[in-house]
Amino acid sequence: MLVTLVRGRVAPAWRSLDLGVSSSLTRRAVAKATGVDADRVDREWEATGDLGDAAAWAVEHAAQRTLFSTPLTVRRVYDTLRDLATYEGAGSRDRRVDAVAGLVSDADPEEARYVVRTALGHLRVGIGEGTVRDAIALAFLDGAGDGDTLVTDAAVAAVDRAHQVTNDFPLVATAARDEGVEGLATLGIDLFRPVKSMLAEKAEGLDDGLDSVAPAPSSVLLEHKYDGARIQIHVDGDDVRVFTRRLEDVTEQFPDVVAAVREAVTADSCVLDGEAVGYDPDTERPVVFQEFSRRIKRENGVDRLAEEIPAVVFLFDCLAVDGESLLDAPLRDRLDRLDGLLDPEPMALERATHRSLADCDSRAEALDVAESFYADALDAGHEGLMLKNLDATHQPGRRVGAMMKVKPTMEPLDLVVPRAQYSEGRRSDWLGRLFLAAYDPEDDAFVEVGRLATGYTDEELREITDRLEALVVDRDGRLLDLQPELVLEIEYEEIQASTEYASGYALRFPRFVRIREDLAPEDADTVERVGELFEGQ
Amino acid sequence: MFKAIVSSGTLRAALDSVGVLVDECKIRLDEDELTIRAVDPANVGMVDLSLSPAAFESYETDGGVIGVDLSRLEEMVKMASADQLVHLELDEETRKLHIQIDGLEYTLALIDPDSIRQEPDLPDLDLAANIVLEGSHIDRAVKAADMVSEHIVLGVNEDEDHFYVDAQGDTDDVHFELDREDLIDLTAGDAHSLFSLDYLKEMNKAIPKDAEVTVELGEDFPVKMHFDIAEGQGNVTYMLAPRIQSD
Repeated sequence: MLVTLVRGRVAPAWRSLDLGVSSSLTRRAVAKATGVDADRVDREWEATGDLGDAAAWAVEHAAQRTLFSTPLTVRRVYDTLRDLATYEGAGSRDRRVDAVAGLVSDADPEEARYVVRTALGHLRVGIGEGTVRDAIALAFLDGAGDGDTLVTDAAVAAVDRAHQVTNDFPLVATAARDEGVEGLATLGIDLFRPVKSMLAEKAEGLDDGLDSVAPAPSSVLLEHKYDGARIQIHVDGDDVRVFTRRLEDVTEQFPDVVAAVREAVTADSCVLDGEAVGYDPDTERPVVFQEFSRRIKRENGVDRLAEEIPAVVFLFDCLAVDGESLLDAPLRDRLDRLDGLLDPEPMALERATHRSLADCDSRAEALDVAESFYADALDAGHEGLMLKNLDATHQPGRRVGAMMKVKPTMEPLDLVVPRAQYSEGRRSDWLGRLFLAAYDPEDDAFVEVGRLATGYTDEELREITDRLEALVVDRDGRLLDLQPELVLEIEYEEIQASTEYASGYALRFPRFVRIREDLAPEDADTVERVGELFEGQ
Repeated sequence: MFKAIVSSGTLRAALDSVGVLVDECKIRLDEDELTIRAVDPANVGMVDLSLSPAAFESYETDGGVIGVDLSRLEEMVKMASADQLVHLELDEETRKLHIQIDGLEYTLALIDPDSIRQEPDLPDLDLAANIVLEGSHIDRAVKAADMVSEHIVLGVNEDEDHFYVDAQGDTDDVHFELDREDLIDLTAGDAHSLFSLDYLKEMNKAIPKDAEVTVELGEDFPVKMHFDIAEGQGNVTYMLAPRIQSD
């Protein structure tokens, strides 16, 4: 419970829990609890740019006395906030106001600040996943309780593995507390609880990739790299759920995928990893991701859009079958199992196009084969090539050398927009000047690496403006401070060292490519990654 | 076990007096009385209600507590005209309340009482002034104050021997005085407290205009208001915390 709350959440991301708490609902609750005028709360909110701060101020300056006061406990805050998600129907808004008002009314100013931020879902207290991981290791594993402040790498690794597999810190913390390292080791993959995706490292080229991914080309598998959305499919009989890389449940948005899975998967239960790609039903060519991403966001008219942009899923991994976890099995075995349970359905559910290099007699021949396979992938309209080590295990959430990607251009960066400014001239109604930031997982913060002004069409700019204007936390003339929420894919010429931005780097000639609907802010490229690219230039 | 028959008017008066403060409440079904005590979510207003078995046409219980969604129950009871009888019966098995009004039959799912806020103890207050007046006077004071402000001062001037109401708006003011002649009874003592009209307006809705209301007041203290319902077979106490006076 506590480990969820410290990250400002009441449930793991994949439990799609919406508290239904808006800013306006919160300001009403604060006004109700403190007797401070809602307009006065607004003024404080505008001045500080944070409704949590405004709530703290209102509690400090409360105009209404209470008959009683019950101290807030973690349990009560947690239970109250979780219950919000269950309110439905007529009057549910008023009940939410009452519930939040009840917490604020019993809060001291500091408590009110964090209760309100948590309810609104933007608690940023600089606690990243790493901090929680280390805290669990420190509290419950190595020398717990004897004042020892050192954690061993082994303890941290045990907690980390358990978290990557379950994405459920409360579960991990409980297991660590009750059963220690052994308990953590028993936490495995579970149906309908998505695991973090294993990620690929970027190879500097095909040649380099072949050498790095595996000791010998004979254990390398080549696969087309698709420009779509990474998805994880959980199957239990006819019960099928689809999760994104952000661990969000998108089953509703992909009825065609669900139908294809029911048709083509013969196992009773399994967890599959793949890429969903939208295609043009007339030409059967893939559509650009920007088009396809509409399907991830869509809530109404899902079926019509599914006809307009049908999805094909290319599967490339199998993480569990019939209750057996395959995470520790080598890729070649996992793929055998995948083939065993899949009755492929072309243009609906198939294996990713692949080729093994086992039959190549020399490294030179392997490189030749890989190059022509790479050309095929690009010709077919795909992004590039994946290189995989057939002897490697599946490591959830890890960017590992056993899986590499090769793409033709300098790798674009996925960056978050923390601030934005209105353009001048023709586009003066639009937010055309965007600050770009990389993620710093240690501090759970976003650090600026540059400023973007080109690459979008008017239509794209209009959409970006709409999206960003909904995220404003503060406004200084034409410059807006934003909740760091929107992730953009950015191309650029090079990375320079710079004193202008807090990161110490600046992107040269950044260009907008697309909005990354599929990425959460924490999935943006890290400052460390920017540094690596800088070094590698 | 709980089984009762009661006039719709009595039941509505009781439920409405609680419903103006909370959406859900616990109802205690004791052999010698039915009671409800509830505090609004912000801990500002409180209601304490009791109905004696004599308020019912018939009343049988062996004790127990039920949790109800008040607005649902009020809606159902509103289907009856004031003099119609409402039959209530608790189904222990399904934890549902069966409600019958002249052929209409409702089943209301009950709420787990443990999920409803615990009832507080009644704070013990020693308030200097005690005013007894008609409900219609309170109605008049609240409506007049509401025209100009969001807050209202209730006070007693010991020297002048009267009860007064003040409301100051940004531009307009309202002042209303009632002396011993206008009041049913007055125990004078210095008293002056500021209250939120949002709450008083809601409470006022549940106070019968012809009821004799006893108001206890102090200096920057909560106000207590008691009155009878169900022809003297039930009573309601409201308690409201004051606002902080800035001047």
